[in-house]
Amino acid sequence: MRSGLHTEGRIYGYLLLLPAVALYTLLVVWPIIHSIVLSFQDWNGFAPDRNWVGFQNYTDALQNVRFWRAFLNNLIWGALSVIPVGIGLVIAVVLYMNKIWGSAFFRVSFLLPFTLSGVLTGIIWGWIYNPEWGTINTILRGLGLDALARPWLAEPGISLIAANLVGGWTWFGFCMVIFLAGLQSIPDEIYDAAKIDGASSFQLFTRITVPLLGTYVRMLTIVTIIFSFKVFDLIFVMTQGGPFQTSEVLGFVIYQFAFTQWKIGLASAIGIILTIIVLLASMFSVRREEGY
Amino acid sequence: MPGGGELRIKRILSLLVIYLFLVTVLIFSLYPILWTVLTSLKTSIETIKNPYSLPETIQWANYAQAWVIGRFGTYSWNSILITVPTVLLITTLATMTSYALSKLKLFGVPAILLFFLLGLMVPFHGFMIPMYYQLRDLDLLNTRWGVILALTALALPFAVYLMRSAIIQVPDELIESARLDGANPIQILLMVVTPLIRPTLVALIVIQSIWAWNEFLIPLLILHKDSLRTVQIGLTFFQTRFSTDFALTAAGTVIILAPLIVVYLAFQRHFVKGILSGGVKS
Repeated sequence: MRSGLHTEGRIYGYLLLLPAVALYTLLVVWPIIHSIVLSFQDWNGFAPDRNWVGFQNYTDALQNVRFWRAFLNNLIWGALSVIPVGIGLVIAVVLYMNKIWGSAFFRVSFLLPFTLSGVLTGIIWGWIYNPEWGTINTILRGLGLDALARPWLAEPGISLIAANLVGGWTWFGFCMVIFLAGLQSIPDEIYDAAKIDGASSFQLFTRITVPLLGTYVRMLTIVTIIFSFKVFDLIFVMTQGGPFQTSEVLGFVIYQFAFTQWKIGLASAIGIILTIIVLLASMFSVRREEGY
Repeated sequence: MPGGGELRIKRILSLLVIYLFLVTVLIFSLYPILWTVLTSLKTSIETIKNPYSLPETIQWANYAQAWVIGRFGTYSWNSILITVPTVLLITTLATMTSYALSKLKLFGVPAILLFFLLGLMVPFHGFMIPMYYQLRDLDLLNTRWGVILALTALALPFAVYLMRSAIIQVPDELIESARLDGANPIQILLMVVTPLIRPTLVALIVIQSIWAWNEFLIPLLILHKDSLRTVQIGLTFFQTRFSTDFALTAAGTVIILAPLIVVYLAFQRHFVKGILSGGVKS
């Protein structure tokens, strides 16, 4: 009788699973498998025939300057994105350790940019970076630093950093929220005990808060670096990978090769390489967290 | 007590430094938005001549113009027609799936969870090309349903994990007693489980609404007709076409920005709850 009821429950269970699993298989899992197939073929996206070319697309990718520059730019983006993690950490600690008047207002305002899309932030900051009347150059000229004023999004080497700053603008508030949650999970008793032992507030911070927050710092740093391999919208809207393809990232290069040059095989091979990088980084992070 | 006074001065100074720091960050985070709103209320000549002054007279007409000439009315409507069904579909499917995965004692639950984890880990750019061709073969290019189904499929892993973290905490005794009263699993899901997970459900709805409204690459790939374009794509095209008319573009930007900010401010607690349970693995 009991097992009969369970069986009935299971039938309902599989029926409930079916629509989500079917949709997800159709539009995510099958495409993931299919992209491996495409990466070994030569195809222009339209022609009925696709030729198997072995590892040709991979060797082409690894000999392509744009691939390597994009890869390097993703690494630079990841390294720079650690800065908003640090800023988020400092803000969280400041808000947590002090009785701040208007603390909720600060928190809500700091997280606000995180809710905006890449297109919105890209366009708004495009005006701030405007060479003639943009805010940054206006301030620099006002301070008499005319030599520093420049076309921020049109200068090689600068445009990637300028776009990354905008990414940081949306990211530090998210980091603050995560760190605040981490701080709130530290029990008050630990602080009280240390205070009784005569620890100064600086000691409380360096000896208790930082080590206990360490897990969150590591986790968020790794998540940030993984996310940095997924950058697309900001580059697409702000620099179009320019000037002279100097600010291209892997996502942008894949899009360009696939949907403007119709080199489906090459783009798919780069997609697989990107996937492997991200999966390795994710596995590394899981392994590390298990170790601690 | 000179020592006490010195300590107080030190405290006041450190508080001063703290507030100075916080206000600097506050300006950094809010200024870009406030400046955009200010700009949207000026004439286009003013925006070039005096980009940093207050508007001489407030130009509400910019909004009407952006709405009609910039077609932001059409784009907003298109985005609503995509966002609402997407959020409904994600919420329904994720609740059904996570209920089945946590309460119905199915075989192979860990394997199915791992299967969903795949989509959480593989970057979208790694499979967007075959996804595009899959949608083409299903005749879903240039349709709203194409975007809705793609967004739903992509959001499912996150949504399933989020909902599962809530449903798993519903006490088994409640479900058991409803079953003994003769309720079938679907009735139990609707009558017993759903009311108990309302906060997480709201968090999921808020996050997915913001995400669907903000999505750029998927509608860019799938929709090529101007009449179907969403707000994010519309804005990039509008910006290229009217790049010289700063005031009009700013008005268009504010039209897209405003609903986001309203939803965020109204539901920010839920929003934070959602990103925390999504960001911090349980």
